[in-house]
Amino acid sequence: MTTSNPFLIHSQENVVIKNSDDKSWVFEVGKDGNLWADFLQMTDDLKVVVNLQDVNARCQINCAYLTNKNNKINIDIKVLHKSKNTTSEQHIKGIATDESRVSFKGIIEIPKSSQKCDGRQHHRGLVLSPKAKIEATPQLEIWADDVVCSHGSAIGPLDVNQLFYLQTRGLSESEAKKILLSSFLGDLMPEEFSDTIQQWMDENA
Amino acid sequence: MKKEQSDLLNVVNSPYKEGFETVVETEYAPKGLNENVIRYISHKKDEPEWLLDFRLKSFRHWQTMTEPHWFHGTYDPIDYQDIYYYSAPHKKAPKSLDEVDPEVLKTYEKLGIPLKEQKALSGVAVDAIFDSTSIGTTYKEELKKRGILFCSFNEAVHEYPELVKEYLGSVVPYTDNFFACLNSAVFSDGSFVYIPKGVQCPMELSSYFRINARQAGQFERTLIIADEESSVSYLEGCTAPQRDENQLHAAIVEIIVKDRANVKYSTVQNWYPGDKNGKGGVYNLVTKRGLVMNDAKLSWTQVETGSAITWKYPSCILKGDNAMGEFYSVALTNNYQQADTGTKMIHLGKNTTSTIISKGISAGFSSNTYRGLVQMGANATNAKNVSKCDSLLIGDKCGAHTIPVMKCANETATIEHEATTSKISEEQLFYAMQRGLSAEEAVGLIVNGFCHEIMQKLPLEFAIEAQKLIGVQLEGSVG
Amino acid sequence: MTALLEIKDLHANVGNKEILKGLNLTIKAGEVHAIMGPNGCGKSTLSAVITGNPAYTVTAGEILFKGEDLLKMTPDERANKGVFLAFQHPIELPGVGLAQFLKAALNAKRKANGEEPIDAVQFMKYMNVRATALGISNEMLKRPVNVGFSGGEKKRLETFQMAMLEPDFCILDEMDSGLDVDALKVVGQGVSVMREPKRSFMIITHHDDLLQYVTPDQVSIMRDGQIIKTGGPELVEQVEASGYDNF
Repeated sequence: MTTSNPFLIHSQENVVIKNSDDKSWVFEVGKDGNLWADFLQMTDDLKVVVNLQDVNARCQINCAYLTNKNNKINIDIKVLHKSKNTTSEQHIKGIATDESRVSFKGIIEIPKSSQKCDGRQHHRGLVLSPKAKIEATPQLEIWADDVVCSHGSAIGPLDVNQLFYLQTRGLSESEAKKILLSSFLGDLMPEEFSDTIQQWMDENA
Repeated sequence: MKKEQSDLLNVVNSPYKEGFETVVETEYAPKGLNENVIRYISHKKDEPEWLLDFRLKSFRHWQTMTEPHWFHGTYDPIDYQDIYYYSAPHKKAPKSLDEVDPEVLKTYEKLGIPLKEQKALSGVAVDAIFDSTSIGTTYKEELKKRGILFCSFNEAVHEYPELVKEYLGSVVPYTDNFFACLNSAVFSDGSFVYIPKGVQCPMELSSYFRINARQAGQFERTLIIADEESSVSYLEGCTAPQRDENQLHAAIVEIIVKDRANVKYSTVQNWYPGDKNGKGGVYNLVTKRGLVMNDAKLSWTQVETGSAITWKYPSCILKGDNAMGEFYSVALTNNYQQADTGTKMIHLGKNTTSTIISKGISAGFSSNTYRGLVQMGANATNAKNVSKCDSLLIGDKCGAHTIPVMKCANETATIEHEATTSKISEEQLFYAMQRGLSAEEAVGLIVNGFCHEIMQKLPLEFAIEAQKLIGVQLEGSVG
Repeated sequence: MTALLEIKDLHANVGNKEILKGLNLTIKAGEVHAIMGPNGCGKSTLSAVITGNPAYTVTAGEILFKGEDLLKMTPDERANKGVFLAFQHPIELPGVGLAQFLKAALNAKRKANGEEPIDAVQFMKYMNVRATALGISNEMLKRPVNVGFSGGEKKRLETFQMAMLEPDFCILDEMDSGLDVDALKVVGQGVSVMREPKRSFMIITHHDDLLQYVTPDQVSIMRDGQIIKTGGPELVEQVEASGYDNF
């Protein structure tokens, strides 16, 4: 089982990276800049701060977490719309099993002068075992009126209706679960991580 | 006479007698808080020993606590020694409505509040208040027939001490938080409701309370017990702006909802919010919580438009299996108001469900925060929560914040939260104005539409008043 | 017949782009006046400027309505003077019931005319007569304004609002776009029933669809921000036969 927490930065047009290490990142996205980064967290904490500094800066942060045993991880993602006309999107999805604990905190902050911003964040967590825990605090801090902002967060088990549907098609419960789990992350994570994810699924699903 | 003597004796025998004699002569305790003041309050109310003990225990604990500061915003520090904790000396009551601030009267008119109530609300010294006593009496007799107990908290202490003793502090312990602890030490008065097993309360417990609420003081304490299979709908507050010289309000509402019982608690809060520049206004720091047993349901509905500071999280502890909790809220802030309000849904039992719908509207320079906690305990098998929080911003100098916390420790429980922030679109405004509505009317109408889901949950007469209230509160917020 | 609406040398922008470029138009009282033109000629801009949509800026010219300067008025003042716009894309007002909305609008108009607000019973009567005539069900009246209605239903509701508010000047902005025959009939009927000597209509359209149900008194052809020709109903046939290129 791997202990790495891979990341991939797809796009960093006009982005200054001021990170200290792989667990803690500060991105500054300049005018017309574009940041697209993916993170996969399994054992380590992650802290990401994105500052959208100038007009038309945009970012997409994707993060998946897969935790097992008694691992405890904290994921902190903060997007600051420091300039007007900036756009952000965050997708966070994860699975916690065994006795692992995940604490996810996500903030979208839009200060007064940053009109016409669009900030979105989606989180979905699956709790797979009785002793696993997921905590989520998605936070909106909005001080400008002409903005579009939303967040959604859902924590729960696998959808029983989906499970049932697959079973009526002849799959056993465990096979059905496996399919749902491996499709849970969808195409959130890049091809490069698929071996790591597959290995985790094989060992834990 | 005899009674007074024995009271005095108690006082004399008490270990903290210094300075007390001077106090007993006056109609009010001096400013500040110490054990003597608490003894004075208890003595004035002729309270039994156990209640005095409860107050003292609370006070001693309170002294070890520090005021919490996680509130989203800022306010001037509260000097707890600069407050009257019993019957502040009243300013001279106005003799007629002519002496009342015309601005206040204008607002009453816009809300369509009857003249009698206007007088009562603005503190005019006439029989309007006494009228209400007779309304209260009719109600009480009707309720008594069914075994429903509905009276002031102080009355209950004397009439039904066993019930009060059993349930006081059972949902909100005096150690719960700083403001609840303060209330437990110094609470003034409030309401007490007991619905016996199997009884459906035949009326909204409201009209009586609406007029009498003003007498409850700044440290209200409400206790509602719905016995098994009973139901009641309780209405607190008033759409009329309520002025109060007391800046600090720290109330407690405790509700016990027994097996298969159903309680609906609706609030319209319109305490003085301070002036247009943010001067003055009530700090409303409230602890409201219900304990919900098997197959029982507790529903909170609130429309919060007043107060300079609102700090309030009506909560449900869903202890029994299949217990249900609901929270429906409209919080509107204008000028320099700050509201930090939301709910806590603590799922302990199996198959417990909760629904949260919150609508926050910020205008002017105000700040409006939704803060919520949904917690699924380890035994909350198949528990479900759905939350929806929408914020509307009017103008570019206000703020809207959403801080939901979700904790899930059960692998079969589900939590779903959704939140949006937006503004009134130019197109909507133009469309309504094209039909002849002024900008202000149009905004009022659109905001009421935004709150429609919540308004529907209010008892009808109140919903209509609350709608008008939203319009009135938004005045001046449209450029 | 006297002029109800007079537009003189009207120039208007969206952002920095000039859309209306010196438009002149007169509509008389009691007249049904069709404005026809190709897409992008500024037809909808004209309706927006007459009603005071803040997204458009008038840079020159004047609009007189009943002899008064319309451009000085806010959108609601114009509405209460009797200017009504049936929107091409009616706006949704979530949570605002249609009946509640119309009562507020009706009372705003009564207030502007120095009349007492209408009482609830009277209002219901007044509304039900008009709703029945246009096939608007009770259930539709309870629903929020324009939320969850089909395109055809929305247009029918705009016609209904027009019938409720009894304006002196009705602008129908591309009411016929995307409508089936049944809905067209309802809109056409609504206009025909309301046609009277004091009331004028400005029907903005691209095709002759709606004009088959309402025969206009006057037809103006619009191109590139100006009215280039005004004539009788025969212009409609010309457009249908050979398009706008020949004007």
